[in-house]
Order: sequence, then C-alpha cells, then structure tokens
Amino acid sequence: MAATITDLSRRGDQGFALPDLFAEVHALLTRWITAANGQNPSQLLSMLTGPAGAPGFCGWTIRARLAVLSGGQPVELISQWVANLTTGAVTTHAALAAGFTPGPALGGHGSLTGGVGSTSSLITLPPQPLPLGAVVASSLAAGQEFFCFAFSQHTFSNRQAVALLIAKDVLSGQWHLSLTDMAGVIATVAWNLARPQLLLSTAFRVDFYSSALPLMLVRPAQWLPITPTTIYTTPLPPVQWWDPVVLPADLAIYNRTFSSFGYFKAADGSEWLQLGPSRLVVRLKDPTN
Amino acid sequence: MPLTCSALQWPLWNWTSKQATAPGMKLAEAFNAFSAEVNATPANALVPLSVIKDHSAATGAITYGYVWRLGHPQTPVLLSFSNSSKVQGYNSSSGSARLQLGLESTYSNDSSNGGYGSFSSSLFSVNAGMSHYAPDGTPAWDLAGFLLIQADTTPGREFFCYTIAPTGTDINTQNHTLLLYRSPAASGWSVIFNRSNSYAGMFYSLNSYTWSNNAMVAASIIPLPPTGNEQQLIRGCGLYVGASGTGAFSHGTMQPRIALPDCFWLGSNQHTDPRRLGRVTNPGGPGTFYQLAAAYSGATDIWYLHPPDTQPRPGWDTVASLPWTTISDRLSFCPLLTPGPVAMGPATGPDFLTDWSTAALGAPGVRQHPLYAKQLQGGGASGGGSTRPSTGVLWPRGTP
Repeated sequence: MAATITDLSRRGDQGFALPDLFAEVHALLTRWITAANGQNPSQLLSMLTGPAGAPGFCGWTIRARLAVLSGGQPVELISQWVANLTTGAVTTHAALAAGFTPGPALGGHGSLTGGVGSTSSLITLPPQPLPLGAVVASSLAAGQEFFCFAFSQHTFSNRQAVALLIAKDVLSGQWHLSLTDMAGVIATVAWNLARPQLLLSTAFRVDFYSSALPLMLVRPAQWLPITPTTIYTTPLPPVQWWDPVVLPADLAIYNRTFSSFGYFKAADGSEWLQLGPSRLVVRLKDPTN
Repeated sequence: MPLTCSALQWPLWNWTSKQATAPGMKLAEAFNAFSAEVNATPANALVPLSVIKDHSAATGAITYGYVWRLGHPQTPVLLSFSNSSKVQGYNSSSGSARLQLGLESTYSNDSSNGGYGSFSSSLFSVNAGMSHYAPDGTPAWDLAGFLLIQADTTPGREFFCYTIAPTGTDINTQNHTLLLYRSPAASGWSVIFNRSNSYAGMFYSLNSYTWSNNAMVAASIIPLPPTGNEQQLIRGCGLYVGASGTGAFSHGTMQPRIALPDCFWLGSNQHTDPRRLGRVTNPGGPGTFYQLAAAYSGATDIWYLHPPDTQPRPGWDTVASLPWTTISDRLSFCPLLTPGPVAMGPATGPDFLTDWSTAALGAPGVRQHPLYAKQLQGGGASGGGSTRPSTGVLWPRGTP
C-alpha cells in the first residue's frame, strides 16, 4: 500500500517560512500519533516538546515507549531534532530515554545524551528568501506504520533533512526513531527484541555506497548497526548477534543522489519520491505489474 | 538429500595423489554423488552437472586438477582447475595453478596442460594465489590439511561448496573455497571462488560468476560484505551483474537477486587473532559457525553456519572432527532480512523519463517533474486543490 503524501512546500519570499511549516507538520504529526497509538495500545508514542513548546527553537522531542521490558522497566527511546532559530544550529540526537534530562536546554526541549547524533549542522536562516520543499509521508497500515517529514531549503546536500522518521521495525513490531541533520548524517535508535540490546545506526545497509552507476532501488531498507570496534577495546567485545532493524515496505533506498525530491519510476510501475539527503525514498504508487 | 557437511583430514596432504583415498579423488567422489542427485531432479534437466576429468586424468607426477561441466540449455560451460607445479602462488601473477571457465564449444579434450585440455578462448581465467598442499614441494612444509564439503540437493536451492585448507600453523598457505549454486534467478550454475590466507600481503581474491540471460558473466556480491574494524558478518548476500545494458540485467528493469545459500555468512575479520579455522557457538540461535576463509584487512571472510544434526556423507567425518579453534569474542553476526529484487535505474543520471532530479530547468522542467508539476496544479486563494482526493496524491497541501 502506497504511503500518504502531503506536500507542504512553500515560497520563501513571504517571511521566514520554517516556523509555519513546522506548525503545519506538527498538526499532522499529532493526528498521526493519536491514530498510531490507538492501533498499538501496548506501545506509546508521545511528543515531549513540539515546535510551539520552546520559544526561539523549532523542532520535536519524541519518545517511544516499547512493549519490551529491560531491567523491569519499559524500554523508551527518544529522538530530538531541534533548530536554534537564533544561531541556526541544529541538534539531532537519538538515544535511550535514560540519557534524557528535561529542563531548560534547547529552549525547554531538554538535553539528550548517549546514543548518536550531532550539533554541527546549520539551518539556513533569513534573510535569505529560500523556498522550502517539504513533504510529510505517512502510513497507518498495520505493522508498517511510519511518519516521515523531510524538507529541503536547497539542492545543496547540507541544506536538507529528514527531521522526523518514526517507524515500525517490521521485524520486531516495535517503534524506532530516526532523523538526519541538515547534512544527511543519520541518527537512529532502535531496540533488538530477540537478543535484547540497544541498536544504534548512522547508515543504511546499501548495495552501493557511491552515487555512481549502477543506480538501484533496494528494499527492504534496513539499518547498518553500529557494532563494537575490536581495536583498543578492553575487555574485548563478546561474540554477538544483531537482529536487523527493517523499515516498512513503503520505504526504500535509491543510490542516485543525496538530494530531496528526486523522483523514480521503477520498471514494475511503482513510483518513489526521494526524501531528505539520506537516500531514503518513499513509495507513492504501488507496482502495477 | 538435505544439507550435508562432510569432512576429511590428512596428516600429510597430497593433492597430487590419484589414490581413491587421497583428497583429489575424494573431492571427485563427493562431486559425482552430488551431481547424480541434482541431475535426477526434473527441474535440473537442462542444467546437469558432470565430471569431464578428475585427478586421475593427470599426465604428470606433479600435475593435478579437474574439469567439471556446468550444464546449460544453450551455453554449457566447463569449469577447469589444474596445476602443473606444486609451487604456491604468493601474489596476483605467480603460481601455475589456474581456474578457468570456458564455453564447452571452445574446449579441446586432449592431454595438454598436464592432461586437463585447453580452451581456445576462455570466459574467465584466474591463476593467482592457488594452494600448495603437498609434503614434498616448494615451499617445503609437511602439511596437514583438510577437505570440507557442504552440499544441499534440495530442489531450487542446490549448492556444492568445498574448502581445502591446511590445518597446521603455517600462515602462508592459502585457503581455497569454491561454491557452486543454483538460484531461480539465474539460468545456470553460479560460481564463487575465494582464496584467502592470514598472512598480510599475500594474495587474496574473491571471484564470482553468474548468468545474464544465457551468457556467463562476471558478477559482484551485494550488499558489499563489511570490511571494517567491527568484524561484522552478514547473511543475505547475493550476486549482481554489472548493468551492461543488455539482457535480464539491463537498466530500467526489475532484477532478481541471485541469493547465496543462507548458511554462508560474509564479512570482515581483519584482527590478528583469530586468524583462521575459527569456531563460534551461534549467539543468535541453534548451530555453530565455522570459519572457511582466513581473511585479513580488506578481504572477505566466509563463515558457514552449521545447523545441529547436519550429517556428513557416508564414510566421511563430521565438521566437528576438524581442529577448529573456539572463539569467544570480537565477532558480530548481523543477518539481513533477505533483500528483494532490485529496481534498476536508468543508464545514466537523471533521464527525466524514469528518474527526475531537482534540477528541473525552468517552467518546462517543472512541468516535466512528477512532484513539481503537482505543485503547479490547483491554485486559488485557499492554496487550492480541494476537489482532489485527500490521500495518495501530492495535493492538496495541509490535508493528510
């Protein structure tokens, strides 16, 4: 089933467009989270802080409580994508909720440590009248739910982001959280169910790392886990097993470019839109043959 | 017969011997048994396997090899491995052993090449880093060695894999693994040939071949097996033919993956210890992992996951009888959900017919771009598009 796509693109010459855009996404996200929680009662997605909750900042802090216990407590994951509207700095982070400290950091979003993320990328602020390409893609198909918001200020690969990717791991049936900064650097947090452990990732498992030929759209999209390095590690990491964390069927990887809003028609009749700078694509039309 | 895993080892390996109990003829015995069984499967009527020559065909005291026929309805291919010297190759051009793939129609079945015949032209030929296992050759080590064979004749996923390797501590001698397998996505038998050793600087190579329509072609493995400091091993790899613009693998097509048998895991193992012949209890389920290759930095390590209760062929020993070294750390087994077919893109970058970039030039380019063209539709004071469906299309904005 193809995803639901909402085009939120807008002109940039009528005032700074980002806050309005984020407010519009926020309304869609709120509605989607309500529906997603309704059909996944054993798990809970919640929005700790939204775009309106932190003056001077813009973004989301999202928590996913999983139907999994660790040490007697439910496993909770948090993702944070917050732009400082004064400096333009974007904080992107994905980690266990244990690393989260509520409080005044990031205008009230609180601070998230551990896991993976960065604060090094910038959003391009006014007075440049940059138009915004922006798309929300979502699905409530059971077991294949996801919500993704990607926007682009420019085709430069350092001016676009997947600010929100909340998706089921179709293997475990549990939520996981992902995002990219403005330069395509991925931060993903998930939980391996069968062999219980935290799974962090900063990359997709791809067939080809380059944008050169051959061009291939590959599915299912799955994360490349960060596994322990064996160099200078004491004690040595034990032999481990890492279950794959797999994105819903409407999402795939296409290696042509690191740029939003490329569009691809596959030979089976399916059609795909590129979201954000991480080579993620979303299916707009199902295969016809 | 379902999966079998059969092992034999020799205190002094003699790869040149023609005795029925020596490695060369035991390999022929196992391959003949496998061939007879898969050839009896009706679905394999057009791709039968057979032995043209085995170790007994050698004409010289230090020559050895085999020629196997990989049946195909249109273009049967012979796989020839032969050597006329015991000297092990140590780089990309040394060593006299060679593995060749050639069309049957180009093969002269004569006594040339130590009794293994010749091709007037070959499809592929590699003659680097082959193994020396004899006790009396050069370099002159008395080597113990083993032959390990995995075979599965289950229709649709047949494979035959053999590994020859020394069991001693000599790190200069190379392991050598050959995997022949069937996939519904290929019209004939696919071939993967891996040579590896643990001594940094010595030759390593991984060659793979499969079918593009009715032609045997060189192939690459996807996803790329990891080669970092993480010692990750993955399952779910397949072969991929570089898009040549022709046949089943052309641009703009759906391309099935030619998936490797599930029991083979590929990845990295560049740490100095363990180097080779490792054994690991499967941390994610039943079974035991065994290390077939002995890779170093940048090379692909191959491991085999041995399901419990898998038996050897009659007269052979179990895999556990070989001298493995148990490993307790530093390996991460990271299976993939088996990747699906690949949707191939166009022959070059964005062609604006099947693949559109954001570099859509001016209004004509915008009208030609599937997403951008939608943004021009609708209009009106409200932001427009209220007569359009509310889901599944790119408009109207703001309405999920």
